[in-house]
Amino acid sequence: MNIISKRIVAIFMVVIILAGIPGLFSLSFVKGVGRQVLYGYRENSMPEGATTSQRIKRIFTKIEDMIEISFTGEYVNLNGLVQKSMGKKVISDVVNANTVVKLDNGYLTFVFDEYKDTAHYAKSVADLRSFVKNTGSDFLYIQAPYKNFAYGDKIPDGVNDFIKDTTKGMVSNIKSNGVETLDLSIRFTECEVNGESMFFRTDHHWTVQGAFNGFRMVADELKENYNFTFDEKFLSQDNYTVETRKGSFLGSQGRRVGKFYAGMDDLSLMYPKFETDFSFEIPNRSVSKQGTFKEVMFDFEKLEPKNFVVSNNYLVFIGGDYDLTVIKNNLNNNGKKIVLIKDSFSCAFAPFLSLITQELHLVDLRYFKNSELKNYIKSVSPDLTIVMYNCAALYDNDDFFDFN
Amino acid sequence: MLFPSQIFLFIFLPFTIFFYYTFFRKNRRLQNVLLTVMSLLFYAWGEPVFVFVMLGVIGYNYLFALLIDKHSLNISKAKAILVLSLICNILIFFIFKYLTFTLENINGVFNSQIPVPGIALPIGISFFIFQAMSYVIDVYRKNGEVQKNVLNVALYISFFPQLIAGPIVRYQTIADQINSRKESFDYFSSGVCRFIFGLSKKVLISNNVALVADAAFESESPSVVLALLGAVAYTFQIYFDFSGYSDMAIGLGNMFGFKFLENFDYPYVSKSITEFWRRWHISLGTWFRDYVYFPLGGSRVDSKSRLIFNLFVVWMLTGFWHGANWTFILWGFTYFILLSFEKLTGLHKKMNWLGHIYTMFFVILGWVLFRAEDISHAGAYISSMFGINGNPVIDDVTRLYINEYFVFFIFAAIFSLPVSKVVREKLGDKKISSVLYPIITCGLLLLSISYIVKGSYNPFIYFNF
Repeated sequence: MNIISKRIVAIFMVVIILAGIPGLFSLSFVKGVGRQVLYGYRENSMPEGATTSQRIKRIFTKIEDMIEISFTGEYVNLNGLVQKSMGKKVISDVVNANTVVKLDNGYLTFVFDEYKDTAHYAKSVADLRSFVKNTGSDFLYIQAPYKNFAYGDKIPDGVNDFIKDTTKGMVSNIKSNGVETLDLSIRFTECEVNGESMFFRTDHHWTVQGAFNGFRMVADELKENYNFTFDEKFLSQDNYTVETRKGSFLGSQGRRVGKFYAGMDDLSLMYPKFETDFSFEIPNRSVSKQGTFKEVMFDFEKLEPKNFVVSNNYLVFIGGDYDLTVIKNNLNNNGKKIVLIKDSFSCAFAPFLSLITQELHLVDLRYFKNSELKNYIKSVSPDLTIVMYNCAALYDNDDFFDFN
Repeated sequence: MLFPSQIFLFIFLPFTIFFYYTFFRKNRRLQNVLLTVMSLLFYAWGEPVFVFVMLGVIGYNYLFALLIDKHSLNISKAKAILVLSLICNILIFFIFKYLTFTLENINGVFNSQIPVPGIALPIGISFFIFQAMSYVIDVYRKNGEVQKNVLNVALYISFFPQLIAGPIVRYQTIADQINSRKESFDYFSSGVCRFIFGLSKKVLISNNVALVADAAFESESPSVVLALLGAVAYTFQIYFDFSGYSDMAIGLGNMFGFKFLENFDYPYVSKSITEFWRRWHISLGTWFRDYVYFPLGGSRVDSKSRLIFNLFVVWMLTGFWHGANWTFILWGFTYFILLSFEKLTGLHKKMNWLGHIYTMFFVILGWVLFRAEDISHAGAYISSMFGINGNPVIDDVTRLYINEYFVFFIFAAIFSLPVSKVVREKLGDKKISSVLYPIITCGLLLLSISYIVKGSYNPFIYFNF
């Protein structure tokens, strides 16, 4: 082979490698390495009896995980393009649970390849309900939906998905424990309603249309069974302005396969045309805002263009997940108070719910100290305590159901 | 640390090359020190404690070789030192790799309660122990000059390109190169190209067909087609993984002016098992041939029983070398039977096209044994392959894997054959080859990096649930 050809390849490889060398001397990387070395060795997450070698190896592995070469996003895009050209429908992931599957309609999803017994989760919810009832508050468990319910028949043959069975089991367990339940998962049977998408193509969350749809179902339930009163105008989409940013969002599933594999999502924001006045607070982050729905419910900084590797436009909804967020409706001083124990689906949903409440306290148990939950509920003394999780939360994290 | 990783490609390798060809360019000793230090760091990254085991192995083999050289005129003394060095090496090897297995089996057979220690296996011990033994033996045989500088011994034994997965570099082939190699940009470029081809084999083909192999072997009841597919997938996986690593090792060696011998020569075109073992893991085969088979007499012995015995020893050791499990021992024993049969009948010299089928049949079955967790798993799996255990012929899961991975199987089948050799010969120095070669090679590099990045890419899902 012509040696010139080989020289060209050698120069190309040198250029590619030099271009990709990560920023090792940034403060955040140095801090991260320091943290790993100082604390990683003592971290309790190592199993008991872990040897010195295992601990040191773990530190090295963590440091390696921190390394991110330049142009990571471009390489992920390239990989996604190649996978698409080969017609691949299942894209394996470094974390098996985050394997991305392309449905027959082009939507992406995660799948859950084993049935999970949720009896202990249902029991935890029932125990919380008992506690809440004793404080004089009402209780409601809401099963938020998941994309796979709407498009279960479009999962490629041969791919096993047990999320429906697990969710049905959870709802059944909850109900048999005597807990008031609203199951939204069986109501979201279509991904699109009247041409509007209920779920993102590349993200596991519902869209703002999906969240609004869910809000309407919840509002009906609260009106019928919990004595909530509100103006029906809140439930009509005609009273809202919808702003759509076309092709601007690459979601949790899309980020794992790049923007060419399944395209990008539109991201819509929906805010009332009618008058609103809210106080919005994230107490532990010193965030405090007052203003209209549009002014307080959206964090527009999160929409600034960034590399999709580091950005997540879904964070525009109330700024993301925090241990505690408090929203007060200054135009509904006679309204009811709700404590909503939530996951990220509530980020798009809670703004609408706040329209029919006086106070809405959003608690995320991934960040909120579980042991302080009951004291907090007592201190707020809500009219209603809601636990609302989407179906995938049943697989994710025991913290969600640790109410003690 | 693995070659197909971001830390190796974008930190370790450029750092090493940069310092090798700039600050240390004019000093061979410093270059060797740099390579040794980086090699030890490379190993320590994956084995922070066992790196001291390797240092110990380097140290005592260095001393043994010096002693052998000092007493080279006293053959019996030199031989005694050699034997002592081999005992030390084999003992270390046995303790780390085989002690637990041995004690477990003794307890199983004799119902005894001997405590079984949980000893972790240092990565690459099979390779660096054999290289260390090669060094001492070659010094004894005067096939290479003894190294007075311990760092040169350390470099030979621990050199990062071949430390983890070979090829097993024989000391006599590299002795002169430690101090007298010649680097050039052309040689460096050839090394880069070789490295990229090896990287592509590992990342693009092996890692992908491995998903099919894993699904088949981990299934409790694979369909017949999935079981067959899984066996073929593993056949491709192990070849492209191992030969890919060898290509990368050879390419990396070239980048620093070293020339290593080839380790694979398209083994799946073989027409006999004899031919297969001349093409597969050549460095291991020649190691056993030169250090075990020939000293036992090889094929030039007076009796067939002695020949069979020699083959038995070599192939049981070969099987055992691969791992402490009865599957590897049975695998080695199977090849002993086949090779003895061929040697005694001369069949390997008479094979026609049927030889390809005969060879691949036993090679694939052998890989099933190699991959299985234990012998009963291997038996169950082979039963699935032949539809004996009542599993369906095909199911949705199998169809999914066929649809998802058929492209990889096609490429694997093509590149198991010496296609690139034939294409190079046909195109020669034509202009089109000068255009296509860099385009394809650079494309493979980018694709490989994209798979490496994707394989370690775990974006924080802020709103995970």
